[in-house]
Amino acid sequence: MGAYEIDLFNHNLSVDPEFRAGVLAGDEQAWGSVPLTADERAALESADIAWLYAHGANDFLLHNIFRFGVGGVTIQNYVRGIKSHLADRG
Amino acid sequence: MAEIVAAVGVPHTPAFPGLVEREGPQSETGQLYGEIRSRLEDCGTDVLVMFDSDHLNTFFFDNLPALSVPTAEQAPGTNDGTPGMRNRSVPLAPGLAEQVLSGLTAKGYFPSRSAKLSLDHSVMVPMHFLDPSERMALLPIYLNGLAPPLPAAAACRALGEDVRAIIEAWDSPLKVALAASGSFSLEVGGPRIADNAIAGVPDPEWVRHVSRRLRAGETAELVAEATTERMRQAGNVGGELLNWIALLGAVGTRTPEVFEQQAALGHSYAAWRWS
Repeated sequence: MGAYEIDLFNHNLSVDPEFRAGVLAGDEQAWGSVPLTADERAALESADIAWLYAHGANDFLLHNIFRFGVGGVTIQNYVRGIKSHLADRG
Repeated sequence: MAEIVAAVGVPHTPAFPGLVEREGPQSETGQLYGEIRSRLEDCGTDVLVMFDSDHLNTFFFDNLPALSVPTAEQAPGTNDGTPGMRNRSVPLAPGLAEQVLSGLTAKGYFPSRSAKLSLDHSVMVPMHFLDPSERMALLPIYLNGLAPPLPAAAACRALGEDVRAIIEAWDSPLKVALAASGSFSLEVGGPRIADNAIAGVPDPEWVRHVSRRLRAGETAELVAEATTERMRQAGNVGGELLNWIALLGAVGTRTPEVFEQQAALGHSYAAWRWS
């Protein structure tokens, strides 16, 4: 486990409706409530699933990004991003 | 003393409440849950003790228990935005919880206590289908099935045996049923999801194998096979099998009276008669 703040962000998406609404509305208070690095925040804002997983995000919690549509992620983008690691490993 | 009246095992797929709402109680899923529900209703269940794995909703990595027993009077659910269900406050069983907590601690376990919590779909979906009249009290016993290192299967089986003994020694007139919540093979959000969905079943053959063991009452063999590596090979929530193994510890040598397998979906439904 190496991405506590990313996991916390994804956990909060699931259990905190106010946080979720703020994130989806682009509210700075919601985004700023989890101490993300600039790279982590950029990856979450763009739903860069491949980057997030490569940097240690819990894969189960990652699915909340798709559940709630963070970064406009589609199922195709999500699947491509998470499965890119399988391709990397042959 | 309290009386144990039944044991059941079910999945907790969060899409199922909405599915059955759309397709009706005569849908396959509606009928399967209905069959299990009737077993609990027929024996007058007052309290449902459910072995369950939280999905990082009730607990998080800041303090993630391997084994936890809630002592709260009640708990709200669902806490994770699961659609198609009525949110409600579920009555828990603090008296029994204290017995389980002290009994397990005396036997050498290290359970955590949770005096305030909310419930996610892994508990609430079974309650939605198994107790639609909302008359049962619930005692979830949480086992970490999602975040390695997972508890050893042999320890979970022993836990189930000990929970059964604690319930049987509980000075109460209530009727208690035991339950396991979870799948045998399921990947959610991870690299082995399906090509067009957020989840997938990476290992349906493992589901069929586990189901054969369950039907035959081959608990010792299943415990030996259910290593963390093997369960995780079946998906990132494959550790939910530990809830069924804990239930098998309580069930003992009984074989299920009802058993329905849905290997393509990663899970099965089962019911054991107690007397």
